[in-house]
Amino acid sequence: MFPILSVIVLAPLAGAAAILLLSGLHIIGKENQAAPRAIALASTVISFLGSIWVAWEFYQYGGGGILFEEPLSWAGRGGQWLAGLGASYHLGVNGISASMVLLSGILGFVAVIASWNIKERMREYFTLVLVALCGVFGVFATLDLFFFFLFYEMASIPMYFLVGMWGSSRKDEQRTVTREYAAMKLLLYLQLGGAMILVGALGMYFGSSARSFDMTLLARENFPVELQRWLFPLLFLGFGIEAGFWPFHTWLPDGHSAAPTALSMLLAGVLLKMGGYGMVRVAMDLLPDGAAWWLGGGGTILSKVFIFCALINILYGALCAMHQKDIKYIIAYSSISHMGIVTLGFASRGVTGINGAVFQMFSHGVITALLFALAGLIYEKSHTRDITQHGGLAARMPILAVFFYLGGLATLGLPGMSGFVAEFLVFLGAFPMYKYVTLAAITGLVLTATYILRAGEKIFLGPLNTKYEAIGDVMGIEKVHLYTLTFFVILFGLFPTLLINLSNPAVTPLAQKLGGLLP
Amino acid sequence: MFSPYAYIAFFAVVGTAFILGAFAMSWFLSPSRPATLRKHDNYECGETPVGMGWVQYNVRYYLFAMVFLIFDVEAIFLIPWAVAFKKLGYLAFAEMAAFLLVLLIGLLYAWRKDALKWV
Amino acid sequence: MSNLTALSLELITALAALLFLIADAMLPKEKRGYLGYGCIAFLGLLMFGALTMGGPETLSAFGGRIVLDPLALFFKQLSIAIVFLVALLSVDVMKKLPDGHGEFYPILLFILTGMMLLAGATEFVTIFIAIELISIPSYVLAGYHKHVFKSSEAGMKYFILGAFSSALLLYGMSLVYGATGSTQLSEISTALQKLPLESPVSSGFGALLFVGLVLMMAGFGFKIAAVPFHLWAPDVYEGAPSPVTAFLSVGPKAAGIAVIIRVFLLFLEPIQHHWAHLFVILAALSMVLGNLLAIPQRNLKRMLAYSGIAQIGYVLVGLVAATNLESPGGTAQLGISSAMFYMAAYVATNLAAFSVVVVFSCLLGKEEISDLKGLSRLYPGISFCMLIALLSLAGVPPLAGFMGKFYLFSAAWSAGFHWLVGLGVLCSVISLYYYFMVIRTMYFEESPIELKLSLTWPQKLALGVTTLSILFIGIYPSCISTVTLEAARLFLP
Repeated sequence: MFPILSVIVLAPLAGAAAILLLSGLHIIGKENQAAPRAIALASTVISFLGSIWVAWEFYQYGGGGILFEEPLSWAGRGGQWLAGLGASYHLGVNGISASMVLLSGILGFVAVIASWNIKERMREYFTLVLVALCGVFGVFATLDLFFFFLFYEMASIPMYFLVGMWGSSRKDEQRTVTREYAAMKLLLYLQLGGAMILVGALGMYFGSSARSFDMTLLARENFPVELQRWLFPLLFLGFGIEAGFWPFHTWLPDGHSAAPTALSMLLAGVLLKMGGYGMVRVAMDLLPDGAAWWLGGGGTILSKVFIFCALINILYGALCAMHQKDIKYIIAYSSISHMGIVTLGFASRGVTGINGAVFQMFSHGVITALLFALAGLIYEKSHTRDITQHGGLAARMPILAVFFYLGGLATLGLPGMSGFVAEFLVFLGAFPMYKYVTLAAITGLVLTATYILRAGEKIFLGPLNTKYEAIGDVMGIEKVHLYTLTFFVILFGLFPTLLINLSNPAVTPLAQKLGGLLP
Repeated sequence: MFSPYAYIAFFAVVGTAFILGAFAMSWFLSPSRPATLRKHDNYECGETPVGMGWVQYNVRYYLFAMVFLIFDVEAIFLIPWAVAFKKLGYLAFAEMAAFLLVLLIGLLYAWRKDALKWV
Repeated sequence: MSNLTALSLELITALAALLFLIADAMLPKEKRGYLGYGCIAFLGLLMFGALTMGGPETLSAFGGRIVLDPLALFFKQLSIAIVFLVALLSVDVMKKLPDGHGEFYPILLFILTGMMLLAGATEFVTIFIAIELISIPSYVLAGYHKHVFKSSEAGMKYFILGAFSSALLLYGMSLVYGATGSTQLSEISTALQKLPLESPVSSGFGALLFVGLVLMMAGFGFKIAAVPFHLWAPDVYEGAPSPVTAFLSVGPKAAGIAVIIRVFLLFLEPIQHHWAHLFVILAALSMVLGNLLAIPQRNLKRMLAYSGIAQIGYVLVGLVAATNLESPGGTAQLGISSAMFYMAAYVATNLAAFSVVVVFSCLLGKEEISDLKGLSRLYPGISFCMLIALLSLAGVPPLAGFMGKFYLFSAAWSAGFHWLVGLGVLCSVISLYYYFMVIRTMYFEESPIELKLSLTWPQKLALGVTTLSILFIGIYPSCISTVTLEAARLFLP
């Protein structure tokens, strides 16, 4: 069988290696812009096409199993990566991972397009982006916890450099955030999450009778309930930090806003999803009893903690977004709010809720990437991110305004867009489990409408700010990623079954294990 | 009986007491004479010191002392070996030769590095 | 007749040291610069020879006072590698000194002799001699820049504290000898099994033994710079010439870990309930304090000193994991293997970092972290090496340091030290902060001056070898972990 997953995962890494090698040999000079860009584009297009293929094959297969499995035993005695420890390079996707691989494929491609105008230190920039992309694909494609962790780190460490070296500092009356500060904060938070995941993985490894990091083996393992109750919060929270879980969310607005445009797209689009994916694929799937206990089934106040945190995520994120003036902060806080919806969907433990949450991860990834791309374009043209400094730009940049409203409406859940399906499914699934929490969470949608429309109004509507008489609209290559992202937003809004049929077969047995509601 | 450690403790106590006792005795018995200038000298019955006691000594004193020490220790090894030479045989001879060789290298080194020269 | 094969590496090295001593004395002054290259060539050949040695059998010499088993061989190879890399780094630094650079290499080779002897020593007196053979020349090296005030101060401090710790060690050994009646480790082990040790303090022998153990632990703890015996490290590291600091940051630690494994884990194993807790405390303190104290440092060498203290804490976690304190019949082999693996990874990583420091401090006379500003733009190659080294120290995959930490923590978890693993992982998150502050200085900031660095081939070789081994160990850890696991299996069957 053709090792398509390895190709998807390793194509960006090969691209990074190619850039490094060619610049090491002085073939690509310091001033050369085209070559690194072309290599990056080529490798992400390979991954993109590969991920579409994977998703399409999975859609046709429509089962709950694992496809494209690639067990590969590495050299070394006993086929082990590290002698005495059972870790092996083992790839494969189930329905949830297939949709996430597709998401990463899309975002990897558009991130390179969005980086088209990077001028400084091109070689380093694209090398780091490609390494991070390899990590992202790896996280979604691997079936081995050890490699999961390895790819997780590969995805998060380059973010530090990308934010710190190409990011922007913010200095206004609200707060001063330098890019170095944001980068360090992001790094420490993500690594704290990583540390918790590592401890959780070790706990599972040594608690298992198979002594393996293989997720397919660990899923069959019946861990003692006590161990599960102990490990689950560790893993759930570890991944939660990555997913912007309140109260560990503070790295997210600073990090996302300081990052360069393409990186904000990647951070919000796929890095948060690595957290969400880990929550469902590792924490909940491998530790179902612990998950059931902690997500509302335990009967004590402890088992309600995560649900309340999710509610706070939704409401607090939305309220903070309403208060912001910086457009990137608005989008970042909206991400916090929407990742709360993902957590709520997981916490419902039912088929509908989890399907909704997976859908929300995908949809939010695409929509936020679109919004960040737009924010980047607006900033590039107006040189400020403060929404109150703009006004009436729709007159000068109609295409951009249209895209902004498309993205904004998708965020606030307009039917026909992917955001609606996702949120509807989550609330539908969560309502029977937690009535009041769900009702409170739905008010978050109203808040979402408020801050999105406020931002749109301040930037695009009203009388034209005289400063921007000569401002131009998007053109040329800048449109490519906008069209690509909007295409997927509308595609999955109109045909949600394309995505739900992917995740549903994998979610159903999971919901059974969790003791949640079945359709 | 006491444990073996009790004897050590006993010894320690008696030893300390003896020293303290000697000091106490001299304090009681010695006639009290007011201190004269002579009495404060470093060497009460030796040469009159010149200058401060904290001057830096020439490092060559130490070098000589060290080189001397090496050959002093050599003698300690050589004499028992020479006494039992016949019993020990050739292996011991070879070992001693190696030992002497190492020392010889040391001497050679000291010589070449002008450690033996007094400037 | 003793089996001299077990001692061949030491004998060859000692002989070479003497030859270099004569050569230094005999050669005319202007030709002494070649001694360094000769030393590098010799060490390269010795490394080659040591790598061809091996096999699972255990050789012993002098009535079992010295053994050559895979564990000893592993640490001998590691020692040769350390000294080889240090020699590479030293050549150009020593050439610049006005006088006396020729003695550097014999001293280095004597230290190597001591390190290799220590790896195979199984008797207290031999161990002590080996330790002194490492320590005394190290004192000299720390004060090698004799006209530089800081260096002399470092040498003096190291000497006084080191002599004190040697005295403690010797006193501890004598007490253990008093309690067990032998200096041979194997006989001590047999004697310990016979002693009534349920109530150690009430029986006189137990008390003796216990005090002896604590003193020995203090002595060894000083050599590996574990908290609370670490106070000398930052000052000495800062003052000593940079290549010497590079050596001090890995050499004594590797040798110390080798002897701790042999003495404590093998021969004092019957009474491990009396000392294992102390190692747990040492490990935890070293990790926490080392990492916390590294944060405010402004001097690169001081920062690396504290980071080294923290790293030795991680290694001690591996040693602790080799005891069956928490889980009877546990995974002692995994613990030893992981500690050995980590030591190798640490040596490669730390020497890579120090290669950059040496290049930097000895060519420019600068060693503050802020002096690295903008290095990445001017010298992408050098800063890439530093980047890899720092990432590996911080435990970022897929580099050697990560594999080592992963291996250690796995071993500790399987031995039941869950909280220690949690603490270790948390500490490595803390450590990210100060390692990344250096990276930030190199990569995010602009250089105020135009730097001129030109690397000579030994420096390039040292940088290249260490950086590549970090990557190689990280990507293909089995190349070392199979060896260490095998050694541990033979060691503790």
